[in-house]
Amino acid sequence: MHPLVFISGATSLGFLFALQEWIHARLWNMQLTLSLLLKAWGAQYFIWGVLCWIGWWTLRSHIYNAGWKKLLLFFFPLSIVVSVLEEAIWVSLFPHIPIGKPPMPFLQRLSFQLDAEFFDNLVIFWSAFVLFRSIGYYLRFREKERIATQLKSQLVHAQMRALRMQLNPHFLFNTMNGISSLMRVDVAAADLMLEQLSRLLRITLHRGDAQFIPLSDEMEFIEMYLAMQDRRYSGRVRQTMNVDPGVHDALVPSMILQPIVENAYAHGLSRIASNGLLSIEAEQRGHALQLSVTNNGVGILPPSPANGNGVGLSNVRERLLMHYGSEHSFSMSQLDSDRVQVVITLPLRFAASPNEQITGYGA
Amino acid sequence: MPDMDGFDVVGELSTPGTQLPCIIFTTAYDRYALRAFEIHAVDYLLKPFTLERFRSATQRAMNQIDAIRQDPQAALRKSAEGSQYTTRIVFKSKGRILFLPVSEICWIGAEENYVRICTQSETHLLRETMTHLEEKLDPSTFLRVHRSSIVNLQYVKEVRPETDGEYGVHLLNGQRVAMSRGYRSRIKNWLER
Repeated sequence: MHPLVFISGATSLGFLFALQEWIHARLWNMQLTLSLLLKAWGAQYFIWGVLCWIGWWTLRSHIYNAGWKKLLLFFFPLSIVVSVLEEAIWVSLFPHIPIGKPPMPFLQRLSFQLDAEFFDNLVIFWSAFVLFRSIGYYLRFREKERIATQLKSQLVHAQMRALRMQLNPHFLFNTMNGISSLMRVDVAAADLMLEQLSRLLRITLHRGDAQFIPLSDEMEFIEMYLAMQDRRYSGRVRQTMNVDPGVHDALVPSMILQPIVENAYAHGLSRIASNGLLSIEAEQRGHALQLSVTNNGVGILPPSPANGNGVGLSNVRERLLMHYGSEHSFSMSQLDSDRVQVVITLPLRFAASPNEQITGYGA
Repeated sequence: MPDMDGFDVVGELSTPGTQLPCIIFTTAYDRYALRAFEIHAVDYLLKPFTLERFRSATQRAMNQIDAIRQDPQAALRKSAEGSQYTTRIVFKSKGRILFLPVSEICWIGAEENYVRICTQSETHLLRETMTHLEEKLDPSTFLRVHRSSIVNLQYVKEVRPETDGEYGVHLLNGQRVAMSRGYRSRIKNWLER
């Protein structure tokens, strides 16, 4: 709030009090002119306005946060000091008050006024204090609301992004393009790729938009994805998957491994003509789940959107951060001259109820 | 179809006393799989499917027709007494629906809350317990040789003693399944046959 607004507001309040006393004086036939009253009251509240404004400006956070100790040890003495100070300023402005009495020295006048006005001043001080404190609470409340709204919109954005990742259009288009070119030269192979893609889509459909899925589901998707890559790379890569049975039911963010495997193929395995190796491991490490993807091929290029190296992985990192905060780790390292490994550790969490499966027995 | 769906057609085709023709379902929806299984459809092909997948379904149908021709009474007998052991399992795996005849299962391994069903060509992870499966499968064909393994005896090539005094069950496809001492007596009976 602009200081002029505040101070003029305070002064207007003074004028109102002046008006009130003038009406009262007229009723009781007392000799008090309106102009004198306006001056006296206006000055008092003007001074208070200025003092309160200075107080708010310098002590704002202390007013908002003061506990009982600070109230007693600081603000209480302060209220006394300021009340006296205000009166002193006012008395110096009006040497002819009190009216109808012989002229008195400053200190005598001050003590006379303080007798009358001291407690009123204290009331003004503490009223201002309460007002400022309430403003503080209100501002804090609004800030909390603002943060909550921001978080909500951030969450919605993240969910949308994760949803988009589930469908992974870029991967879809690549595969469809592969089918389109294959079907002119090898119909059976194109047909197979089509079937594999539809199986992949069916797996993601079945999940719905769950943020977390059991590791066995994620691995099912990865198995299909690996089968497709195997065809594409015509057996140039030996794939191994090792999942510790104890973590089949561990919850992982949906589609967390696919970008890493895609990256391994696109930037590592694609560069070698034979003896490609890709291994995926999932195991329990204490209270954490550790997922690792290891591949050979070229070493690590500095990740940047120009290489296309950064984008998928940075999405993975962002999602991990969003879901687990500091309780996760992500590392990409070069094991030796041509092997790269990505390791993710997450808190080990299991689903409340096991996932359903159509299983029927019969003849 | 305008007035009926696939199940209605099957219903129309069922007349008591006659053999129902072999039915293969082809559909984009997976939600009818269990129902199709229960009315003894031969297979359930999710669209799109490959020629190879189609061929294996039709082959199964032909095998079934041959079996009925050779022994027309066997089918009726089976449905009359209601076999207590499972001959087919239906489940969803890797984006496909499978009506798997148990005769195609080579062996089954336990993986904590899951079992891994191994056929000649692939493996499937299912949420099931070994004990439950053991109950459902005919013990004259499926033998539990280890806390974590059940083998289909029809795929067993030999049982070889190993260096540490343990035994290994070797399957026709070359795979080796560990056999634990506690279960050895069971396989002994079979070996003696």
